[in-house]
Amino acid sequence: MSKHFSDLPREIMLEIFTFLSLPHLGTLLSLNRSIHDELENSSNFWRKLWNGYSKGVEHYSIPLDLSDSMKKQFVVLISHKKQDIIFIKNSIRRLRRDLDDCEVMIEIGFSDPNDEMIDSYREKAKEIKNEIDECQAKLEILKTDSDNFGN
Amino acid sequence: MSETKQVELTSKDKVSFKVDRDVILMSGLVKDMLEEGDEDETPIIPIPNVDSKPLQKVIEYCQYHHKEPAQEIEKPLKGKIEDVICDWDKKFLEIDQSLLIELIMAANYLNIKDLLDLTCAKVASMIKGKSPEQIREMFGIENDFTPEEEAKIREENKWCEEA
Repeated sequence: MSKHFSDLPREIMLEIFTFLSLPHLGTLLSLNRSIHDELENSSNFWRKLWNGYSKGVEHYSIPLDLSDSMKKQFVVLISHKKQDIIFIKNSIRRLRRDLDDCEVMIEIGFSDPNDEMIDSYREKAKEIKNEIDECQAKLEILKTDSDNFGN
Repeated sequence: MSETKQVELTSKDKVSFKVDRDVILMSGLVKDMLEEGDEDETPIIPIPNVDSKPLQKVIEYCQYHHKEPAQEIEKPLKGKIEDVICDWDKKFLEIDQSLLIELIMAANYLNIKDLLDLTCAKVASMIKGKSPEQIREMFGIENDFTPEEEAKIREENKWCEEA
């Protein structure tokens, strides 16, 4: 006999949904009444979703009781996450400008082999590149797949 | 040279499969059952909740992954599942929806976490980017909301889309 999605036990359905990011949650909640109620009332589901979504968000820890005002908590978390993403993106932009400046100075140094500052600029450029890599790694953790949502 | 110890699994539809003990120890359920049994015999383990077709797939999965441990699938899934799993798993998941659902149930019953994660992530990947109507159609889910209720729920949960 052929098996269907609706044959799955509720806890497995919820497990499947924990692989999805927040933008998909609105879709899931409007599928049908039983799925909606199951999602709304499962603190375990919200906790797993929280753990996945809050990765990399600084200065904001998991609330002790998600069930009470979980939607409000998520809205605050989304706001924190967006702020963190903007901050990191700005940092990367600033660091890239600094790196460009260093590279210009290194280039000038090449035309004047006696320039004693060239080594310090090289060192500085290396440090900036490392900082950019760190920021990119943080950004990667913070990014959800919302860019792919709807594709 | 010592012989590889085997275990005989019997499916719900009474098909028997002989599997290396080391391979099927990936199943938490079988592992627990073997710990209670006699070491010297080839134990026969009934799997009354799983048909032969999904059980065969489960064995196939264990035979590959007991030597090549599966990589953890990150939550939430970024992009499509095909972007984060190995080629063997991609080929393994080329199955129809009914078998995929049976495989999820089998992985859950047999307590094989990596297989459960893989199959659940596959279904999640099928859901991604689809509208509620498309998801209902794909999985045969009945919409028991009135149009007004559905509109209200969508409005209430608009915040999710901001994420």
